[in-house]
Amino acid sequence: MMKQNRLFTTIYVAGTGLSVAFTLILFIIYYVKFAPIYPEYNRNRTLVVNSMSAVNKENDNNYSCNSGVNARIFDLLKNLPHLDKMAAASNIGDFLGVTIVIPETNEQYSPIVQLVNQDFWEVFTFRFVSGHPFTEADVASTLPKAILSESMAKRIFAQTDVVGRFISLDGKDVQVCGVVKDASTATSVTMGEVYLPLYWGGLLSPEAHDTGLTGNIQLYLLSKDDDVEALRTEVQEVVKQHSLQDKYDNKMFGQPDTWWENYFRTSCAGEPDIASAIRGILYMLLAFLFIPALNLCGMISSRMDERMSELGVRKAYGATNRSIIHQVLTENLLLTLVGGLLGLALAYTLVCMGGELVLSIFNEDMYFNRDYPMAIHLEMLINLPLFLTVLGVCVLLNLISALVPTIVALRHPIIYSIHSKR
Amino acid sequence: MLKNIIKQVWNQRRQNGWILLELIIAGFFLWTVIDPVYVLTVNHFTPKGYEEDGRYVLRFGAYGEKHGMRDTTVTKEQQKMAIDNMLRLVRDCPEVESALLVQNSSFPNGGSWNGAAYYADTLKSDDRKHVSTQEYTFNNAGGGNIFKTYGMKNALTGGDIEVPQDAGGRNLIYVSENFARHMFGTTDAVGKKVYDYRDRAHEIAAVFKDYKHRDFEPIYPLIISINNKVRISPYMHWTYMIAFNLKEGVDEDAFVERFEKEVAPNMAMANFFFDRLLSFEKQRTTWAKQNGTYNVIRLKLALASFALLCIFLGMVGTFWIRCNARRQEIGLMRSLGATKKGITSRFLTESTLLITAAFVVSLIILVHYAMQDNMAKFQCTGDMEFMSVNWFMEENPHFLMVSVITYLALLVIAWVGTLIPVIRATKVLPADALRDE
Repeated sequence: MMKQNRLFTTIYVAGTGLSVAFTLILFIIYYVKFAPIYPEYNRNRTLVVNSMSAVNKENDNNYSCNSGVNARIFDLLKNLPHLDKMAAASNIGDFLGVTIVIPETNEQYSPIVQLVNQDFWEVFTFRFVSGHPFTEADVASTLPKAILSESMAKRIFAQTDVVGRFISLDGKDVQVCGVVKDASTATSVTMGEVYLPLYWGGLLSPEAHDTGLTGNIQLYLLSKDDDVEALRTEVQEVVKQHSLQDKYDNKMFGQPDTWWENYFRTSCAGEPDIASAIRGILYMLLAFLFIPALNLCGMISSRMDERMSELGVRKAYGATNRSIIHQVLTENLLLTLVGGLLGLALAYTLVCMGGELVLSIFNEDMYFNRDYPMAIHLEMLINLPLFLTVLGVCVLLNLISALVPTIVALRHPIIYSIHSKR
Repeated sequence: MLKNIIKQVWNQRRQNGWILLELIIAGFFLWTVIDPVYVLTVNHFTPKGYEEDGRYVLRFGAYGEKHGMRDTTVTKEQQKMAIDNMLRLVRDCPEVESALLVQNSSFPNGGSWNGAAYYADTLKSDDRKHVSTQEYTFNNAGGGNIFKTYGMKNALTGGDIEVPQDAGGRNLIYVSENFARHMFGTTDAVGKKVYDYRDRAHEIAAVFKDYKHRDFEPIYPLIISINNKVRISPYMHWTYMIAFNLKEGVDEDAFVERFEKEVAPNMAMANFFFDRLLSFEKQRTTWAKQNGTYNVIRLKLALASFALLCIFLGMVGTFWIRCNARRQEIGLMRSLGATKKGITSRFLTESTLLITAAFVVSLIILVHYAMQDNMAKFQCTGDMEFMSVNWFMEENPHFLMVSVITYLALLVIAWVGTLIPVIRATKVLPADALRDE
């Protein structure tokens, strides 16, 4: 059948391929942002607080709005019944301008720094190549320790078994206590080359602040028994109660967020407009599905015209409309699946070749994104939900594009159909 | 002939229905993705008001309080002197034409943004005339002249702008054409006075040509003031930068290489060190990357390519089928003396009619869409109200231009999609084609 009408096959397969490829790229981009991938396997169980605003109750002009909280919130949240672990991290490390000496070349290199607490290593499931995570004592200690990414360790020491050795950070000797498998810049929350205890460098402090609960620490709260809703209510309640007695009215604007909700939060001064963001995605998705589908409808409609007499003969010998529709849909599904495979290959090629250009195409803020190559891991491309999406898009395209023209063609009386090709 | 073709298109309305529907939807979609790219393109091609070639910003770093390399014996005076010395090191380079100290990212596409409101008088009334403006600050000690270094010109004479040595002490201020027009209704504002929020009077020393701070944003007011006081603080490496321009004909790559190797190491003094050299061009592209503008352009172009590819496939498919169905007709026309060109232009007219009919329907929907305030907007940092608006930015020309671009894109891709099957069909010999008749 495919060889019989090469033009039809080519255009049909290309149209389906285009639709599947664009839909899949959209899928992969959001899969990487929302689904559990290394080292953020607990995304589904995690709630995020990464902005806070505080208004002085006595003076409205005394107002602060920050991309995080300060350490005061730890005591408020630590005993919540549904809180399993509380990871704290700060991207302010990037502003520290930390330099590290690469011994081989004596080059001063500014690594991507993450300031983190001990629970960070529990909420985010890094694979330790050697050594161990920070302990509570490491985070509180004034004797600094560091955890390196595997590639950073190789760059400095040309090996990864370096626990106990020292690196020169900002002119100080810092002992390495662990080496972890690299995270990709696609998981920017956890990606780092050097992980340091939260209060390293003195930019963050465990002491009380006079800015309400605002600060520069981002919180990732792991829920107990996967009950994120219960945890969310508890966090909101405890912050509300605290604000009643505090000098400041602390506002979280609906936080803590689930992982995917948090992606759409772009301001610390209001609720995110998730509905409008989703409308934008749906608009694209509908275009990816319907524009090619109309194309395919036109193709199948012309083909139905050519096959009108065949349909007439089949109907004359007793074939039901149902069995004819079934026949056309099955024939087309084969073509659609070939198109689906082509689309899958095209999507893989574009994502692998484009890397960051493709995966970060929806990002409006790339301030922390430096010129660092984005690693694409296999789990981002090969996973069950992705294959189910391919199949789903194929079936949907097939239904949209083949069903309507077939039903229209079957409306003609048998005589007309047989007569259509003398 | 046109009447004939219209009749043919009408007769084939059932076969044309699907492609027409696709063209209407794809036309609408294409318009909505071209629209934001149009806005960014108009902004990008608006004259910048400064020169980019051979212009650089030098950023320096500082060892913080807890840095192991910090020399704790360094005094504030030594740090002030160190900044003077770094500026001198740049000025002494034979390739450098002029250099100066600027504050708070006072250079094009700088990350931070400093703004203020200036008033026409000191009356304490709610409706007193004011202009919200961006403000650059520079240091003119030792002959620093931001206009010369950045290649900015006088709006009235088109010539250079001189900065008197005592300009800072006399509270002289320099304003953009846009600022002068919004404040005084004219660009002839030299000698006039404006007042800051503390009612301090500043005399306008010159009006410079409109200046675009950010590449993909419209022009808005800019005021340039002088501050020769260097304030020592732990953040001064983020506050002060050295801007300079190279003499004409200097090989920029060779200069950067030499500078980083020979001059930069000498800048390690009083807890400061050389951080990096950023060309104005690099700064422009870095900013557009960081704030996601390049992402928006890439995304919209990818979506536009998708729509165009779909239309291409649709047109190829439709006309391939049509050419096959009208094989005999083509053969007959050829045997009666029609040229290949004649037949091709007949099919091209047919596809033009299809595209035009579909786009007219899309346009009706698009007019409604635009009237709902959905068109992409010309906006700038902080939604400043005093923008410079040119013809291309006004609503009606904006709608018209995006529509024309969309229509042309649709037409070109449809023609290509039509030509491929039609050229193939016209190659068939009339005798072969007529055999089926």
